[in-house]
Amino acid sequence: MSEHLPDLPQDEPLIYMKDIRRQFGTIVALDGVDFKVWGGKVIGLLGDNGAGKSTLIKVLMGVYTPTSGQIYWEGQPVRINSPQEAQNLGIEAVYQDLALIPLMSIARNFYLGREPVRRQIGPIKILDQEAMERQAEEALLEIGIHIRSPKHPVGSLSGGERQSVAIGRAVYFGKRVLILDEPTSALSIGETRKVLNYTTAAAERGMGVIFITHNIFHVFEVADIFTVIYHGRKVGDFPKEMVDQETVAEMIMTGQVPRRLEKYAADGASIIDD
Amino acid sequence: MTETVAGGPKVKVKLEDLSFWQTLRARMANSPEAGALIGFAFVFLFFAITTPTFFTPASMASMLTKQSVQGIVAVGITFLMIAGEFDLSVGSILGVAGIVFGQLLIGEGLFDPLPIGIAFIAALGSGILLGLLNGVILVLTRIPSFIVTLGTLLAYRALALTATSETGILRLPPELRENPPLFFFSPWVIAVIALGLTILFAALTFIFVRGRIRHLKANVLPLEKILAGFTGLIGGVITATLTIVFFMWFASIFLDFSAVIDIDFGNFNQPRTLVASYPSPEAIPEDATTAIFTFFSDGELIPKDMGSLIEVSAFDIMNGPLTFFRDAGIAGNFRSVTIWFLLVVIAVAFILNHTKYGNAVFATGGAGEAARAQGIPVDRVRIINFVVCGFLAAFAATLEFARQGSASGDRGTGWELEAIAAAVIGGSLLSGGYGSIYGTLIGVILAGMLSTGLVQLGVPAAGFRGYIGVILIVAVVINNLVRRQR
Repeated sequence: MSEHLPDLPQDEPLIYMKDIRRQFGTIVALDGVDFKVWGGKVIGLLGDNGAGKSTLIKVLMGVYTPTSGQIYWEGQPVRINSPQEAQNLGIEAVYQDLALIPLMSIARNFYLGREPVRRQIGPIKILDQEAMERQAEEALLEIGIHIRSPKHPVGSLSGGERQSVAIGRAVYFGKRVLILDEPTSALSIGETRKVLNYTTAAAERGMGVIFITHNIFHVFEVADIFTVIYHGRKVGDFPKEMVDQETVAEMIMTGQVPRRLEKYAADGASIIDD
Repeated sequence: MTETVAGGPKVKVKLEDLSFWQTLRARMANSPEAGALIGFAFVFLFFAITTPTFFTPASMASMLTKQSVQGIVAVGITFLMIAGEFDLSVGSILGVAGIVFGQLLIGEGLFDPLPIGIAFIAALGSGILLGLLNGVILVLTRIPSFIVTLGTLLAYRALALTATSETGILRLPPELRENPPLFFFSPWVIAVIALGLTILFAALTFIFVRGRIRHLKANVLPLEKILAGFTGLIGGVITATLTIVFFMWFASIFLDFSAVIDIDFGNFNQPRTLVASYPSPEAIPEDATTAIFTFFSDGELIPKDMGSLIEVSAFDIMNGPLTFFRDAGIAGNFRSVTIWFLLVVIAVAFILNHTKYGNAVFATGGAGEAARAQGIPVDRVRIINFVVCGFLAAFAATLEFARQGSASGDRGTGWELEAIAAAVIGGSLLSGGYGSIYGTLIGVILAGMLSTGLVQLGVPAAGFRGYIGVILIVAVVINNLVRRQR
C-alpha cells in the first residue's frame, strides 16, 4: 500500500449507510453494503442493471426498510421510514420516470407537497398561486433553467426540460443531499450537458450529490468519487484521480479490483493482479 | 419568442418557438371545460332557435330541477375521477342513503319517527361509511376501483332492495307530508343568506370576467382570444344572471314584488310557499315602471313585516319551490336543489383548484407513484375522495327524498353511468389527473338541455340516450387530443 495514494474525504459524511442488507423473499438484493455521501461531493453510484443501486437508494429514501443495517445522518443513527422523512432530513430524489406529473403545471409540480399557503381556514389550506408561479420561475432561473411559463403543463416540455425542472426543484428544496437516478438516460447530448452542469452547480452549493447510472461516460466528468456495486455487494469507493473510464467499466462488469487500487476496495472484494 | 421574467431584475430570455398547436394544447390543458362549453353553446343555440318553448323559465326550471340532484352525484364522481379512481356504486349508495333517511323519518313500527336532523345526519353517515368501505377495500387489495365498486354496486343495491323487500316503497305518512318539520326564521336571517349568495356570485362574476380580460390582454394567439372572449361572455352572463336572481330574492324579503310586477307565464302548478304569509297589499302601483320609479323616489313599494317569523319547511329548504322567482315575475318551478347544486360545485371546485389538498388530488390521479415519491399520502387522498363521493351521493339521496316524499330500493339505478358521462363530457379524463368540476356542471346541464330540447322538438324520448352517447364519444376524442402531450 503506497503512500502517494489519495485518501477518501476524512470529514464526517452527511450520510453513512452501514452494512445495509435487504432481502426480497429469498433473493438478496443488497448484501452488506457500506455507502457514504459527503457534502460538496458528487458520488457516482455505478453498477450494472440489477446490481442493487436502485434498492440502495430506495432504502435511503425510506421506500424500503433494510432487512438489517443502520443509516447515520451526520453521525447520528436515524430510521427513515418514508420519503417524507427523507425529505425532512433534506434528502431530495429525482427519479428516472416519475419525477413530475405531466398534466399539472410547472408551478404546481415545483411545489407539490409543500405549497405555500396563503390562508388557512380550519383544515382547508388555500394556495398562494401567484407566489407559486413567481417563485417557481425565479428559482428555476436562478440555477439557469429557463421556462416559457410556469402555467404550462409539464407534459408540454421535452425530456431534458422536465429533468431540468425536477433537478431545479430538488436543488431548491433539498438543502443537503440530491439523488439523481439515471438522470441522463433519455436525454440528447445537449440536454445531458445541461443536466451535468446543474449537478456540478448543486455540489458547489455544498450539497452531497448521488449520481446513479450505468453509463459511466455521463458521470465521469462530474463525479468526485465512484462507488461501484456488483451483485448486491460493494466493490469499493474510488477517487476520480485514481481511475480511468476503462478501469471503472471493467469493475462494473466483473466486480474485480486491480491490485493497485486495493486500498479503496471493500472488505471481501476480489482483487486481481493488473 | 422572447419573454420578460417576472420579478427581480428584468431578464430577456430567448426561447425556442412553440408551434401554434403546441401553444393551443398547452393552453387547453389549463381549461378542460373549454370543449364542453363550446358544445354547450351550440346545443343551447340550436334548441333556442328551433324550439320556441325551450328557452323559457318553465322549461329551464324543470330541466335544472331534474339535473341538479344528478349533478351533485356527478360532482362527487368527478372529484374521485381526478384522483384516478372510479365509483360505480354511487347509484346504490344513493339508494341506501335514501332508505336510511326515509326509514328513520317514518319509523314504521320498529321505532318512533326520529327528528329530521338526526335522520339527515344518519343518511349522510351511511354514504360516508359506504364510501369509506370502497376506499379501504381499494387501498388494501389494490384491485382496480372499477372492479371494487362494480362489486359494491351489486352489494349495496342488494342491501337497499333487501331492506325494502317487505315494505316496498317507503312513503312519508300523510301527516308528515302535510305538516312537515318547520323551522322558524327571522326575515333578517333569510336576508343574510340571500345577500351572502348575491355577494358570492357577484364575486365569482368579477373574478371570472377579470381572468378572461387578463387573458384577452395577454400576448396570445387570435384563436385563444376568441376562445377567451367566448367563454368569458357565456360564463359572465350565467354568473351575472345568478347574481341578479339572488339579489332579487334579497329584495323580495323586504318588498312585495308580487303586487308590482305581475307577469303571468301561466304554466306552473301552485307551489307551496317558501316565504309564507305576506301582509296583504294595500296600495298597488299600476305597473312595473311606476314601481321602479316609486322604489327610487320615496319607497312607496309595500314593505314587508320584518318582525314576524317566517316558517319554512325542512323539505323546502332541501328541495322546495323557490317562490321568490314567481314573486319577481319569473314563472317556472325553480327549486332550492339548484342552489345546493351550485354551492356544491363551487365548494368542490374551490378545493380542487385553490387548496393544497386539491393539488394532492390532481397529483394522485396524474401519476400516483411520482406523487408518492414527493411525499403525497396518495392512499389517504384516494380514501378521502371515495368518502366525499359517497357523502355527495347520500346528500343527493336526501334531496331527492325531500322532493318525492318517498324512497325505494331501486332509486339511483344507472345514475353512476350518467354521472361519469357528464364528467367525461365536461373534460375530465377517465385515467385521472385532469378534469374540472365546472366542466361537469356544463356536462350535466348539457345532458339536461338535450333531453328537454329533444322532447320539445318531438324526437322520441327514447332517443335521448343515443345523443348523449354520441356527444360522449366526441368529447373523449377531443380529450385524447389534449392527452397526447403526456
